[in-house]
Amino acid sequence: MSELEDLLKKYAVEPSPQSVARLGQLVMKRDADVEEIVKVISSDIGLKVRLMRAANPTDGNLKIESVHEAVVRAGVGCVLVLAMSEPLIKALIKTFITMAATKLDPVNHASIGPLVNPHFLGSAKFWGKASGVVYIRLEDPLARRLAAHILGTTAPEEIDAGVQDVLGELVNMVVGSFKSNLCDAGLSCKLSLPTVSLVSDFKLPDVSRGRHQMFAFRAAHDPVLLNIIVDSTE
Amino acid sequence: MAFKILTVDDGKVVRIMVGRALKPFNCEIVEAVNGAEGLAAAAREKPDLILLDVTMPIMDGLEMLGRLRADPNLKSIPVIMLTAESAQENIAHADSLGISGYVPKPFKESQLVDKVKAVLALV
Repeated sequence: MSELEDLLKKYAVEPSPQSVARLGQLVMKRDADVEEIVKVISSDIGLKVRLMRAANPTDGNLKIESVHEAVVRAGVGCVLVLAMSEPLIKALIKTFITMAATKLDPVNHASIGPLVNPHFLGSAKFWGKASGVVYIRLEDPLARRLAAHILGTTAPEEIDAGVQDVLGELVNMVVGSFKSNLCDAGLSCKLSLPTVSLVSDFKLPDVSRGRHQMFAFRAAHDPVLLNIIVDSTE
Repeated sequence: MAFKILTVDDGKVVRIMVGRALKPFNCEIVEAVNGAEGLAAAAREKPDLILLDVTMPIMDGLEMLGRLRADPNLKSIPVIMLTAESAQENIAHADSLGISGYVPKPFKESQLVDKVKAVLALV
């Protein structure tokens, strides 16, 4: 067992996903070896499925069947974003269940559609060897349930007063955990303080110079949307 | 005998959770919102244990831990890191300075209570 493994065991801290670390190291090289990248992706079923979805046309007709072809079509930057999304999704699900006993089920984002009512937007930027922004969006009823659970109150005025602080802390935990995984993958970066605001017409910033992935979840019937934008690494 | 616990965290919600989790166990909770305030509170209050976040404005938790360990009057206070910063580099840094536990956020209150009980039993 390595010194590092000993340390993680000593403090009962989970290691970062291997695929992110390995892909991070590969993508950092200017002459990234596609075959090596394909090998890493092929050993991670979840990542492989997400890559095949990202690389194939959205009309449902699968045209790309090999991981190699998908990597070439989607690009190394897209592969890295997909790899980075895995710890982000895990951090989101773990934070909601651990802090608020709220189970998030991944769903297809087409089944949710845009959030049209005023809703909460939590965000945090990260910059360094990997740079980008994470957005988490959810509607008022769920935000209030989370606040009630975490603050241990049912008093509406206490929930009103605390809901933004609670969401800010949840965003902080999600992106903090995500950032730690990036650092462990060799993509050391810094985080901004999380911000939380009420929005009614959220629009993603221009992603033409970066990569974007969106993930959707339901907490019972309430939608939660997660966006990650990573500045281009290509 | 009541134990005095200093929570150093810029997150109000975390401070509320810590207080709620530990007060039933005969603990007096003292709070600070950054490392600089935490050092002052440690010198003033002489807590039995410090729960310490890493990312905070003004002075972060690792710097506070370093200064705490360099102060002959404060260096023996046990510290449990309570932080979303679980990068291996940070854990190794905190470990090298001397800590009694590392609780990554998100955390269950019961997980924190178990860690605190284990450490205070040794004090």
